[in-house]
Amino acid sequence: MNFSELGLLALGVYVAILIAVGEIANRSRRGQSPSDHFLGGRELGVFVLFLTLYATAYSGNSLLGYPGKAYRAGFSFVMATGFMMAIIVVFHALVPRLRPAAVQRGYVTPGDYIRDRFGEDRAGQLLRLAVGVLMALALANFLLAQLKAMGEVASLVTGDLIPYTVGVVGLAAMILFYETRGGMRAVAWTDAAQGILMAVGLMTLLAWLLSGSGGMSNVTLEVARVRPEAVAVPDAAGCANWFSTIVLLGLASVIYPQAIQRIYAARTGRALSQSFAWMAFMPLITTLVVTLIGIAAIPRLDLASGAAADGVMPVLLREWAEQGTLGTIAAVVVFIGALSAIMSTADSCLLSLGSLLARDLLGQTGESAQQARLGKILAAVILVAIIPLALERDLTLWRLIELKMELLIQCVPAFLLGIHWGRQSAAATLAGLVAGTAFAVGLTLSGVAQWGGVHVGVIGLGLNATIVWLGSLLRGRVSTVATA
Amino acid sequence: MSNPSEVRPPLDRETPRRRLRPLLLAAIAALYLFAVPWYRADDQPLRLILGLPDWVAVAVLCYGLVAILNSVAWFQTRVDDHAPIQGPLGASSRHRSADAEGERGAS
Repeated sequence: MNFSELGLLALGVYVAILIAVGEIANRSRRGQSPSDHFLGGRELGVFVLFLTLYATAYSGNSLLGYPGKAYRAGFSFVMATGFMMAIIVVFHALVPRLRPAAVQRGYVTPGDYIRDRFGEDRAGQLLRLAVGVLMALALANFLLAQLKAMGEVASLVTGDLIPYTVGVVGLAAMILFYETRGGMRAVAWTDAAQGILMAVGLMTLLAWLLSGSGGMSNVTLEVARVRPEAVAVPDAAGCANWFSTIVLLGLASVIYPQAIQRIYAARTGRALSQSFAWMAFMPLITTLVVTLIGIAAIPRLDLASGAAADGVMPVLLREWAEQGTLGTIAAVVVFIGALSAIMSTADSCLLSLGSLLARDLLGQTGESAQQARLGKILAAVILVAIIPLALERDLTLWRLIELKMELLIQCVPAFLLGIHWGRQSAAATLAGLVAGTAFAVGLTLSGVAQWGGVHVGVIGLGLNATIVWLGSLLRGRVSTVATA
Repeated sequence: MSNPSEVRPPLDRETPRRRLRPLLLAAIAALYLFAVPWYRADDQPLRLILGLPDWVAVAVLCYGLVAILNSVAWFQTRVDDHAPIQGPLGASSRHRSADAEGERGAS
């Protein structure tokens, strides 16, 4: 059996398992309420929670985009390990205060927090709507990146027996099926298995690469020979970009709706803090590994610098598969691991998107089964709308990540500042969010992605936070004067 | 009769944790600062440590330490689902309670 046939068989088995998990999760339901569907009945224990956090955080971006970026940028992309770790650090500012409120007041979506914190007056409602729109756009972008990655991997693992287009449409339909049937339970259970597959696959691939290249020292020396700038110490703009990327991704990733919903979905606060304690190590065995894989590919491959570099991982796997039967089997396992990582993120995005649209944008509240049904329908509509965009293959995965984060980071003051600072007003938060977003989007559309290495989204956040701070102080002073 | 040393108030057990956590987070911030090679000249010759360029090895070491300290910080973090809600969210609940009292009083 050759690589393509083995890949097709493995893909078939994998899809059959997903269908089975969806059905089992459907039978484990306790009801049809939004918290049962979107949060798995708030019953995720340490093991499943940890693996679902892991599989959701590490996605198609991590497995295809990050090696591609490391291949293009060289060793300076070790910053990726830092920003993935920063996410777990920044959660310290959010979780201890958000979790008790989420449990005691029954939050299901990020908008439930906004409603609770900033109230239901006009400014509060507009703020919830604005945060909901930004989050929905970021999720849709994230989902788009996953669909693209799914199509690429399905096509590669089967040697184009399943073409890119069929891979995107078919696997998207599969996610929709098991997510609709089993909700968060199906997503979390499949995530758990997918997380294990991904970690094992990546470690094996790196071991093969390093052993075939004569160890890490040889790889570094070869990289220095073929592309000296890839081993050079970053200049001032490069260092500024390193800090900026850590701020951008570290802050914005905490505001991922699917991450916030996992804070709500944990069985207990203790399970949550233990899961984060284990998650702290995962960038070392995932992000660092994919970064080194991308770097090890520099002397081996000669890929174009644009979107083609996202193909680093698949091309390496194809090379591995040509090394004999064992290599073929190992490469197929890594491919399926990569595919499962991508699908685990896509399913989480889709689930969050459905809940966000139903509750935060359409203003549904309470625990009715009708609301969960509406969420499922909206998720399906969005998925169908995104598929045509996913069939466009020219945008790099890394640029998609940056675009999403530059939007999402503008929601940071509403969460990370608002949960600590009592004087922060809804009107000032809304004004800051609108200004920061307009600034970041305006510059991005005019072709300016960074200033001196700093992302425009991070500069927009500075503007945003300043407006929130000054506006809230001023509003407090005006209220005091009016009362007097 | 219970021994007072056996039944310590929760606050006593929490105090060392509360003191340790900010220290750990401050150390993590310092490691993040040191991981980026802003203090290095960009024209230095290539030196390898553990097969990596030395500035990359320093960054990886810093991030390894961040992982350990952050993990300890999370194990020290007590997230109590039924604790009184702190900060502005707790205040918003008090406002709501006061409003509800006011409405009941008015009716």
